[in-house]
Amino acid sequence: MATTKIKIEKSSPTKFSWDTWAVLAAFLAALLIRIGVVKHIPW
Amino acid sequence: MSETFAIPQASRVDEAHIKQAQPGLQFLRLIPGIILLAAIGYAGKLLELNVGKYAKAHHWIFPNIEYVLWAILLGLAISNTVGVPAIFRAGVATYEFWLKVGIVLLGARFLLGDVLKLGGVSLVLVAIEITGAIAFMTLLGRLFHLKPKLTTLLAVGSAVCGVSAIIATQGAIDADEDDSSFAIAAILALGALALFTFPLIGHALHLSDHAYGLWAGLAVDNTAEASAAGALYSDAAGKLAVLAKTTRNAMIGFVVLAYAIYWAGQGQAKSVKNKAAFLWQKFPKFVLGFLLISVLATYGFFNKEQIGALANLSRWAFLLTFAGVGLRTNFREMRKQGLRPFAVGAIGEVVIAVFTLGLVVGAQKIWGW
Repeated sequence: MATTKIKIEKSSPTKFSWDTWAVLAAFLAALLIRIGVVKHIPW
Repeated sequence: MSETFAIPQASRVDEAHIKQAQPGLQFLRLIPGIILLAAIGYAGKLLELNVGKYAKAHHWIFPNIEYVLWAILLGLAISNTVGVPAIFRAGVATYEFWLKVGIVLLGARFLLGDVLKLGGVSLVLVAIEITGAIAFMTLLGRLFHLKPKLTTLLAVGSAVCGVSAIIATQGAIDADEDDSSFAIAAILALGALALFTFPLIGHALHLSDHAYGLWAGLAVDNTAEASAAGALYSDAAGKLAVLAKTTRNAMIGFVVLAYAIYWAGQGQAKSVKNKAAFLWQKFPKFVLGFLLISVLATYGFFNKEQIGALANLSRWAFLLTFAGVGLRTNFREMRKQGLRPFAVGAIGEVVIAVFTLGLVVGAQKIWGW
């Protein structure tokens, strides 16, 4: 079976997970939209 | 802290999960892959806009293919022909990050009352689905003489939320890395199949957006594939699929804790000392983010234009996710995985899909969607 070595980084209690970073990024974006820094996002 | 282990190449794509701990490091390495995700996603949007027009102008009969499918197909084409060059891989693995950003922002499109109502219905169906799926997968694992911990990983992956659940459970029950790799490969392969079969089945059965979205959220294992399978059907179905899948994700801590206690009782895993801390550690935080944005939107923190902007930003985040789903799916590598775990996963998934379809149809009759 083809395998590849992957280095797994275990979380330290002081670091944020991807999960938490995603929430923070989403809230930052929401805040920027709320205070009017970003007014329109096209689709 | 780090450790190295061998993992099948088909699961290489799960670096996003594996590297959960160091999101801030080596940011520059992520940029090429993120640009590739954006380029493929945007190309999908352009193809949706222009292929239909071109076909119509030339009087061709061509199905209307949405950007979701174009983005996935473009990603699949690259992954299964030239492959994803090493320089892009770290950035491509961020598709899970964009998925979670998209889910949190999607909260702005749900009023809290809807979340509670639909989430309540989802919660009942999710509880039945998880119980049934774990029982069936455990039985199937025994019938196929799979190793007990591999059976546990497949059961959790099928019942709760795919790759994240398998990785969380592997650590909690001290399972072999090889077992985890097999289970992840099986779940990913079956998720890829679900992307193409679920919308076809939904249309064949004339399921409503509501029923289909709920079904996709209940039956498709990985969150990215569940979101994509829903969005392939319709925008409304995509919203419902994300909500149902998010409800499933919220259960991950409880299921993993139950298995950790079981295996510790068997003397084959470390005991869990602080159960509340364990639950919080395993709980997907984006579920809380989704709920909080929904509360803010419900109570007028955002005006109509701002909610529109948040919704569009959520769509862009999902677009990157869908491109990543295609790019990380390599059928050649998946074929190299063992047959038995795949067979157990496949049989289980078909039964779970039929079972959850029955649940949704039953719920549809009860609640009259």
